[in-house]
Amino acid sequence: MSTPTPACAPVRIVIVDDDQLVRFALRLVVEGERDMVVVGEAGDGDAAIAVVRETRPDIVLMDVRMPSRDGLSATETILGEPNPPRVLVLTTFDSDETVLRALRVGALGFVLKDTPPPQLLTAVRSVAAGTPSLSPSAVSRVVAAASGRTSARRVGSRATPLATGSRR
Amino acid sequence: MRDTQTSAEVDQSRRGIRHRSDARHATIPEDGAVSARAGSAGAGSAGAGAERLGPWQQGWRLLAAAAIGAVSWLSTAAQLPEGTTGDAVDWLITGDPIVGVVCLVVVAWRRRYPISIAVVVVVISTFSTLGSGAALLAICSLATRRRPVETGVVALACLVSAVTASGFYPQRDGPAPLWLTIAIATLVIGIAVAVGFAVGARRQELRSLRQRAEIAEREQAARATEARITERHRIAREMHDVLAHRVSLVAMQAGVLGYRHDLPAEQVSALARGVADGAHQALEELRDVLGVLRANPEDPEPPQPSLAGVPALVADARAIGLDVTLEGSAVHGFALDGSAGEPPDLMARTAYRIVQEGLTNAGKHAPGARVRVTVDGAAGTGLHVAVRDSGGSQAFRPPPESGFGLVGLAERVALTGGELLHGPAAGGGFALTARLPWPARPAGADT
Repeated sequence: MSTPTPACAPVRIVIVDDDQLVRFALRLVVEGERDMVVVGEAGDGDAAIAVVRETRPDIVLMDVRMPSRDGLSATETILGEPNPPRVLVLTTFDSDETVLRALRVGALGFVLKDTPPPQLLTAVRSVAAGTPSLSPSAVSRVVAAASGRTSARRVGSRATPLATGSRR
Repeated sequence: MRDTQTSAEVDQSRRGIRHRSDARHATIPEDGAVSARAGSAGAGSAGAGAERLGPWQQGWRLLAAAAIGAVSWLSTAAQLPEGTTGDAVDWLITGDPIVGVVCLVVVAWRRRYPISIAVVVVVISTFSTLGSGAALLAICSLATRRRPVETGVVALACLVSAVTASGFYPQRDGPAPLWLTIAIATLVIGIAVAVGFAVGARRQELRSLRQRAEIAEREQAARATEARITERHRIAREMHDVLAHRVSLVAMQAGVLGYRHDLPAEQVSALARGVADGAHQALEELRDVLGVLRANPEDPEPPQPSLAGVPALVADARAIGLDVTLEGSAVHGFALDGSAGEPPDLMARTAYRIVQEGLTNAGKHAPGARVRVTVDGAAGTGLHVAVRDSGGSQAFRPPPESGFGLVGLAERVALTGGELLHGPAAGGGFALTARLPWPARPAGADT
């Protein structure tokens, strides 16, 4: 396996997703790396906060849409606590709303779930090193928002809360 | 031509609502024309908008008029001094009934030419006691229009005619005193006028009730359609979310299989099963989405309208009598050769709805006006849509009945990031204009 510059201590990771199959797949990807270790899993935002308090990981891979408490709200709480981990948001959708909210609550990365494993691991490593990492489409959204120009998606921005609001 | 045909069919369900209203509006020009020429006798149909009477309705009214005439004729005959002969008696037996029958026949057209018929019948009924019933019917019918001046003038003429006629035949007890004749005639004519006014008021009330009910029904239908579409879109969006989740999970699992070659056999098979199951479920859900979008097979969702449908819309408006001209590069650019590239769907749809609403309103509030439809613009500069009318033939312009259409339209336009303006145009008439943003690059660039 590719093991670039093994660190002295492996990066400790918590995986948060309401779908057990997603957690399983992510765990398999991460566990193939010598410089990473999964120290915990959680199925919703509240559980994520508890698991993070307990395991003190370096990185949280955080889903957004989850029952009871969503990932962004959990991220906000986790990052508000002393000596917090870094958060990489890992989600299915990258609407304007989600990307900007994730960055606003302090996530350091934003990656789509269907990102191939090598790129996903690159993102994890860069966030572990403290460098922000965004998927290409998320970058274009951030640029559009920062330049004040409306991206085409912005047109439907009023409808977006509806889409994101209907949590499963 | 084929294009026009299909888009006309395509937008059918949407126009189901509009057409109904159009059918009603199509009758408005007649009424409008009447009110504009109210003074002249023999204008179009009664201003009260009376419908054509059925044979039975027409029949009993004429019979009643004939009965009144017959009573009048018989009492006149009974009042003749015994053994009277001469021209007057001859006339009573021959001329009077003939003229009376003519009056009864002529009065059948009272609704078509209310003033002319009333005047004619009143004048010639001077020479016929049998015709007096017809004259009363004509006055009663005229009074349903609830126009005091014309009714008053004709009623006065009728009074004069009645008083004049009263001295025509000799009476057994000598002529009645003039004041009595005038009093009786005034009473009878007054009753006819009063009945007419009451009937007219009732008709007006019924008509306005019916109109209100129609408007309410139309708005209700529009709201229901809108709600159904919104709900369906919401469901589709939810299903899309579920599907996207499913497919990205499949991608993840397949990605792991391709990335980790050192996995134990049971994990490989678990992942492979996950991929197979995920793909299978995604397909099922895809079918469900299609099911939702195709729900209600007898009322199929028409393909969304676009700029290409605008000429068909204009043709429809011409068919109901509006004088419409269509101009602007955008219409020809897209409808005819499509060379300038497809405009974004949302924008095209919104532009179509603006033209539709503008033409419907013009048909409603400015019948007979000249209407100019402009659809102009290009990618990068935005699309300009305008529907301007020259003002109706009516001096008085009723306010929009509900404003429902314009409110919905403003909402649509706001969603595209555009701007909608409407109000009286400089130089008379009404203008509905909108500016819709049209990005230089197609909006489909990001998912």
